[in-house]
Parts: sequence; structure tokens; C-alpha cells
Amino acid sequence: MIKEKRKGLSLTASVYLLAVLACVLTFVFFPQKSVINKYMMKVTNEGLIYFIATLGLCVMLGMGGQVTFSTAGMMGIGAYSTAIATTRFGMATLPALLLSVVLGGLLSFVIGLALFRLKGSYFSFASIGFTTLLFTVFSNWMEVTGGPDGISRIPKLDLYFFQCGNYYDYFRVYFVVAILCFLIVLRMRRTSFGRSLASVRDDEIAASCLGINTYMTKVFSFVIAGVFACLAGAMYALHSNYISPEPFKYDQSAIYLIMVMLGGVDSTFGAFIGSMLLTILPENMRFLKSYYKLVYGVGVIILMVVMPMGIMGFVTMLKNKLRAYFKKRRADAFQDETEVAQDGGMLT
Amino acid sequence: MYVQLAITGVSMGMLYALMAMGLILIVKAVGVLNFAHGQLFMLGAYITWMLTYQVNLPVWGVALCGLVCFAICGAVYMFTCYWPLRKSPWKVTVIISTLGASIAIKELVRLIWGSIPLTMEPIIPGVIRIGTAYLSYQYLFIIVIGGGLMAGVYILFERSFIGKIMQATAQDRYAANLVGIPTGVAILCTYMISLSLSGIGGWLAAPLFLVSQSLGNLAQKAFAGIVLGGFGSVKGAIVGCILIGLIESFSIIITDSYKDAIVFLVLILVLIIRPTGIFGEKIAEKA
Amino acid sequence: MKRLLLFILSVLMLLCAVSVALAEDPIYIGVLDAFTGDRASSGDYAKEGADLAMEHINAKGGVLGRKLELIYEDDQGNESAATNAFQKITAEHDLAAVCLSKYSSIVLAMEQFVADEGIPAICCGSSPRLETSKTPNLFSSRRSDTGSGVTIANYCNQLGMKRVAILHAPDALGTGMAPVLQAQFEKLGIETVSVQQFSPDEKNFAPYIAKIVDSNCDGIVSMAQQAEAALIMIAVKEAGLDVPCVGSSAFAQQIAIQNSAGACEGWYSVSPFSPTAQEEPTKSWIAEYTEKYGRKPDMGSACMYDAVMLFCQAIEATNSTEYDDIINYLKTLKDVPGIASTYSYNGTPMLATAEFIVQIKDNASVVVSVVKN
Repeated sequence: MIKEKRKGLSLTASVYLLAVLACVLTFVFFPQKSVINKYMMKVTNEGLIYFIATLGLCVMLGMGGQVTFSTAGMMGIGAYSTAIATTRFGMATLPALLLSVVLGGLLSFVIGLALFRLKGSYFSFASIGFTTLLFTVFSNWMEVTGGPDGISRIPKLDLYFFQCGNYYDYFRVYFVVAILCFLIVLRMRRTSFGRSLASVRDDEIAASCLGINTYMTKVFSFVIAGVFACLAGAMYALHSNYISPEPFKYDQSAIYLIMVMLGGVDSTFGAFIGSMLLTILPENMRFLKSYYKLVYGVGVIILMVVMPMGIMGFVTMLKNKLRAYFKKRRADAFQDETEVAQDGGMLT
Repeated sequence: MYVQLAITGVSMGMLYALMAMGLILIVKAVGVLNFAHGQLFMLGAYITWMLTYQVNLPVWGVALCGLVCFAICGAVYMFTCYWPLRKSPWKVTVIISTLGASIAIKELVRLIWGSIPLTMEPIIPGVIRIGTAYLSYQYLFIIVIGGGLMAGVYILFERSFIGKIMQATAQDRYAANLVGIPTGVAILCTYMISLSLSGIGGWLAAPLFLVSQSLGNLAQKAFAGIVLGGFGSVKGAIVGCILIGLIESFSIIITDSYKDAIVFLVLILVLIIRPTGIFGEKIAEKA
Repeated sequence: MKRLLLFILSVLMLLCAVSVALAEDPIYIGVLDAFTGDRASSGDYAKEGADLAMEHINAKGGVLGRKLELIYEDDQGNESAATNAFQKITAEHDLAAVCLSKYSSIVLAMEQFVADEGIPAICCGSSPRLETSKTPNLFSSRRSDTGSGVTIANYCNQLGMKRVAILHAPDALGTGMAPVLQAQFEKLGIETVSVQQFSPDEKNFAPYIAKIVDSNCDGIVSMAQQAEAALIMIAVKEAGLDVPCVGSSAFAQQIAIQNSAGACEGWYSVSPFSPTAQEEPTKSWIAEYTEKYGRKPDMGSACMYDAVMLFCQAIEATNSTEYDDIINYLKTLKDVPGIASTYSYNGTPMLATAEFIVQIKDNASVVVSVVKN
């Protein structure tokens, strides 16, 4: 057997190194006036916020196979609790953010216990009902949420050792948070919880036969999704300094679902691609003016038809094809060599 | 007041049931919720408006041409949103493609007919009064025609041969194929009938609610009705929708602004107590 | 020969360069409104009004001898896209001023950015929160809902109502005006027998009307946007309710009147602008608009038209396109007549001072009385 010894780093190790390098460079050099203007920085920050929300959805949908429309509602919970805590109760921003994340987790747990008595499409629809309920409360509970006028003058994020003064500062903080969340979800895939969730997605009955408590597994995935969405909502409130009920309608949840599908339902990094693309592209597509939404809708249909596994799915397919091609070439080369070796005598 | 609320509740419920009819057909055929259903309903309203006011056809002309248009739309819709994805193991791809379709249809309608609401005259204007209660003639039409359509759908599916074919395709496509049923044609027919139903519903509802892009939001209540009545059960859908109409109407006694919240709260509570809905089929999954 | 040609060419080029330098850049004013999404009808009317203003101004030779150009940006009717649109339009163009949408929640979302930018902005919103806004460069071409609410309540008193039912929209207009109405009713000794808020995009008003019938009122006040206004008027007629009804400004606008199939007959409304106004110059403006666009104007068109005209007037009067000059001029406005109202600065951002009380007769709104601040 001819074994090729690879010198230096393996392929995966070098990819990791490149990724770390890219992150460090982005953190240091990206958020500057000369590289990107204030308005695009704001858009990028929003992309990061949506990325964190879609990470939660990635866990529920990609790993758990449950279609949920609750993301926008939970973002609303995070945003409103942070906004109310900071403007009405004068809390500092960081404790308010942590408080709303905890609140979100508790609420998701309770709601998850209730909703997961339902299966499949029933559950999806109940999640729509839940989000619509939350939206109605946000829009109508004037004393607490300010109703349709929303809450304004939310203070900027203050992490005791670092104050976020402008969008560039926010980027640095949010970028770090996003990377941390990303790593958490990546790690989650390798835990036993991650595997249980995947088996629930693939075949719920088989999973329960293996002794997995499918109900609690799904509830925990809902809690995780809720916590991420709440965190994203709190970040959104602190970033925009003004919130109203509009961004937390269930239609917005549909957009998060599309983000996950665009990036690749199977891939964590896909959530990043999907959310960044769908946040930044619309700003660059303004030249389409009134045709923009039509192109968007048709684009989604085409995406599902042509690339149902999303961009990362497409990339993986390319990778596999390349690998198969190179393998074939090596096998052919090996074949030729052995033939030559075997026929060695005949040729001379 | 209670009589009036009951009348309003039942009439709105029948409208939701008409929308739900089309929806449930697709659910039975494909197994996933069609999120574009509200927009297809709205599209029906706009197409019939166009036939009435821009092409200037009489009522029977609108009905005929409308049905042809809806059938074509049904075919187009099926081939774009469902057919390419029918073999995919991830059901969510079909859901997302219907979401994309709903955005696309809404925008297309806005680009063609503008965003300003349009009026459609009712078939017979006015209301009938019984004592202090009243009901507009258009609602009567909805109840009568809707009831007729529902009876028609029931006969089609439960009693006729074509219906049996479509049911077989919906339950187990692989087995149906084995038995020699042309599943592709069956699904196409299901889509065409479904779109025709929602199109007619749009036509009937337009004089009551103005032809505008927000007509599609009514579908949310139709979804709720289907889920309440039990997924996959036609009888359940009708009962569920009427119940939703009544709940909506009577909730006005307790609250005005939280009406939607109450409807969904009731729905979630019922589902927690009885996860398969009121008439839900007790279908267990086989390993 | 070649040298001669070269010389002529260079002279020509020099002339071109000089003429380009002399033909000054146009003056840019930004217009932010909803051109897509659920609120797109507002954007359509606003654009028509603003375009008409641009046409009129350029026909008279432009502003300060320079052409007026309007830059449109879509705020999509939602707050987040609106703030992005505002930042984009101010970053990418050298604007003298910007006109904003009539939706108060969108303007409030942008408020901080408008303040930071310092650009003079006129919106078409009427929320009381705009009235109390401390942003020095934000104005509105409308009267505040507080003022309109008091006007409506006083007129209800004039009509002899003693037990009033209120039905309002869940938006900033409805939720802002309802408490104002109730407070004024209390002052006037009128009882508010029922207050109801309907759901967004509500289509079925029969239950709300049933409750109103049950409450035994002798008058109805309603605040809603156009499509819902039409449906409310139809529902009231179907219920056979024969009491005086007063509606917010949308009730007297074209969409509501057209779509109500005659049910609008007899309704009163408080509005700065009526599409069937008989006074000049509004009447000829409406005629010109109808001829150009094929449909009657909406209040939004008139307010946007006036906003653009006010800015141009400010630029002409101060001979400058600097932010502060325009803002300071706007603060000196006194009784400037416009299409939708008369404009004066009275210490608050709300510039409009006049409103009409109209009654709808034969599908046209007839002015019943004029209210001035």
C-alpha cells in the first residue's frame, strides 16, 4: 500500500487556524470608519443579532427538526424586558440583559412544556398562536409596553470595563458574543443532548425506543432556542435604543426560518451565512425599489427547489464531489501502477 | 346583542370554513400546511375583481372565467412549490417554499393592482332584518354557497371514485403508486380544486371586506379552525371554524383589543387538553 | 491644420467645463415613505403630492435658480427599515432637508437619528408624542391629535351628544386620541359609555357595533385609517344605527368615501384637508392633481406637497441650504397658507393651525366649520 505522509498541518487544522486568524483580524480592523461606514456597520450589527436568534432556531430546526415560529415572540420578550428594566426601573444595561435572558429561559420552559404535547404541524401552528398572543400583548398593554408607540430612549450597552458609544463599539462586543454562541452550538452537537435531539428529528419512535425522553429533549431544545432569541432581542433593544411591537410579529419568524434554510438547515455556520446575507443583501438591493420583495419571494421558492439544503449544503455537495473525483483519480493511478507492476514482465 | 353576536359569529365562521376547505385538501394531499393560502384567497378576490371591473364580464362570466383562472393558478402553484420538493425528506422545505410564495403573491398583486383598497359590489346589496338582528345578503350567500361547496367536497371525497383516488394518494403515496393510481394527476386535481375553493371564497368575501392585500390575514383564523377541529378532518375543520367565529364574536363581551389573543389562548388551551383537536383522528404513527 | 483643430477642441472643452461649473447642482430634498409593504398606499399618495410640488417649483424656475430634485427612499412601513433608510439617504446624498412619513411610530423610531443628524425634517404625523418632542429640527405639517381630539369632543357637544361610544384603531392615532377625547368629554359633562379598540387589519366590525348598539349611545366617535374607516361606516349603516357619527381625518378622505358604498352619508370628520374642498387654491390644486394622476388626492398628498413647499420657501427666504438657516426660518413661520392647512410656529413642532370640520353629503365632504388654533 502506498501511504502518503502529509507534512505540516492537516486540512482541518489549517482551516481552524485560518478561521481564528480571520476572527482576530475582523475584530481588530473591521469596525473602523475607513473600512465601513456607520450605516453599513449598523446593518452588520443587526445581522449579528439575527444570527444569534437563528442559532437558536438552528438548534430547534436543524438539530431537532421542529418548525417553530416562536423566535420573533421570544425576541420580543427579550427586547421588552430589557427595555422596561432599563427605562422604567433604572436598571443597568448588563444586569437587565442577563435578567431578560433568564426570564426568557423560564418562559420558554413553561411554554415548551405546554406546546410539546402537540406534534408536527400542530406544534408549528401553536407556536404561531403563541407569537401572535405575545404580539397582541406587546401592542396593547399600554402601561407596560407603551403600546404601538413603543419604548424609546433605551440606554446604550455598558459593560463596566467598556462602554458602547457608537456602532463600531457595538460591533466589537456583539462579534465576540456571536462567536461564543456559535462555539456553544457547535459543541452542543457533540454532546449526548445533541445526539438525542438529532435522533428525535430522524425518527421519534425509534428514539423513544432507545430510552430517550423525547418530550423533555424537545422542551430543552425549545428553551435553548428561547434563550438565544431572548439574548438577541435584548441586544436588539440596546442597539436600536427604540423598540415597537412591529419587529416581533410572527411574519418575522418566517424570515428567520428562511435565513436558516438559506444557510443550510444542517449547518451551524449556515445560520451565519443565511442571517448575514438576508440582512445585508436587502440594503444593497434597494435599486430594485418596489420589485425587491417580489424578487425576494420568488428567490425563496427557487432556493428551495434548487438548493433545499442551503448554501452550506451546496458547498458540502461540492466538497463531496471533489473528494470523490480526487479519490477516483488516485484509485485510477493506483490501478495503473499495479497493472504496470503486474505486467512488469510482459512489458519488457 | 347576543343574538346578533351569534349570527355574526356563525357567518364569519362559515367564511373561515370556506377558506379552510381548500386548506385542508392540500393538507390531506401533501401533509404540510400551505402558508400561502391566505394570499391565494386574496388573489382570488383580485382576479374576480379584475374580471368584473376591468374585463366587464357578467356574474356568470366571472364565475366561469374565474374557475378557469383558479385552476391554472392551482397548476402553476403546485408545479412551483410542491412538485420539485415532493421527494425531499425535510418537510420544512415545502413549508418555506409556501412562505416564499406568499410573499411573492402579495407583492405581485400589489405591483399589478396597487396598494389602495378596491371596492366590489355585493351580489345583492343590503341586509335582511329579523327583529333587532340583521345579516347582510352577502353573508347569506356565503352560508348558502359555502354550504353547497362543502357538501360537494364531502360527496366528492367520500362517495365518488375520484375522491377515493385522491384520498388514497394522500394517505400513502407509495402504496397508491403501487396500486396503479396516477398520483401526480391526483395531486394536481387536489391543488386545482383547493385553489378554486379559496378563489371563490375570495370572490364572496371581497364585497364585505374590500379588495386589499390584507385579506390574506383572515387565513390565520382558518388555520386556527382547522387545528381546533382536528387536523385532517373535513367535518372537524368546518365545526372548528364556526367555533372560532363564535369565540371571536363573543369575546367582544370581555375585551375589545385582546380579541385575537383570546382566540389563540382558547386554541392553545384546547390543544393542551386534547392534542388532536376536537374531531382529531386518532392516528398513531407506526414504527 | 492639426494644431488649429487641437486649439478649437481645447477651447470647446474649456467652454464645456465652464458651463458645467456654472450650471449648478440641483437642490436635493429627501422623501421617506412606505413604498412597499402593508402601508404602501401612504407612499403612493405621498410621492404624487411631492412630485406635484417638484413640478410646480421647477416650472417657476426652481429654488434659488437651481433645479429641485427629490430623492425617494423606501422605509417599508417598519421602524427598523425606516432608520436604515434615513441613515442611507442622509449618508449618500447631500440633502438640504427631508420629508418623513405620516406614521408617528416610524417617525418616533427615527427621532434620535434625525436629532443626531441635525437635518430639518417635516413629517406628516400627528401623535401627541411628536408634539412634546424636544428634537429642535423635527417638525410636523399637521396639528397634534390632542388638538384634534379636543376639537372633535367640542363638536360632539355642539351636536348634542350626551352618551358617546368610542371605537378606535390600535395604532398611535387611536390610542393617543382616545384618552384626550375621554378627558374632554368629562370636562363637558358627556358620558363615555363605551371605548373599544379593534384589532389591526380588522375586517369584521359587526361585533363591535353590536356592543355599541347595546350600550345605548346617542353618538359615535371613531378613529381609524381609510380601509377600516370605510368598513366601520358600512357596519354602522347595516346595524341601522341612526346617531350622529364623527370620525378622524381618514373618514373624509377618498378611499373611505369611495369604498363605503354610500354608508358615509351624514358622517362628520375633522380633517385638515378635504378632497372635495371648494375654496381656492385648494380646489384648483385638487383639479390639477386629479387630471395628472387620474384619482383624487389624499390628505397625505396634500401634507407632503405642503412640506416640500415649506422647505423651498425657507431656502428661498434665507438664500441658503444650511440646516440651521432652514430650521430657524421654519421657527418664524406665521400664517403661511398651504393646501392642507395654514402654517405657523407656536413653540411646538406641530406647524399646522387650521382644521376643517366636514360633513359628507352625496359622497363629497362639505365644510361645516373651520377650527383655528
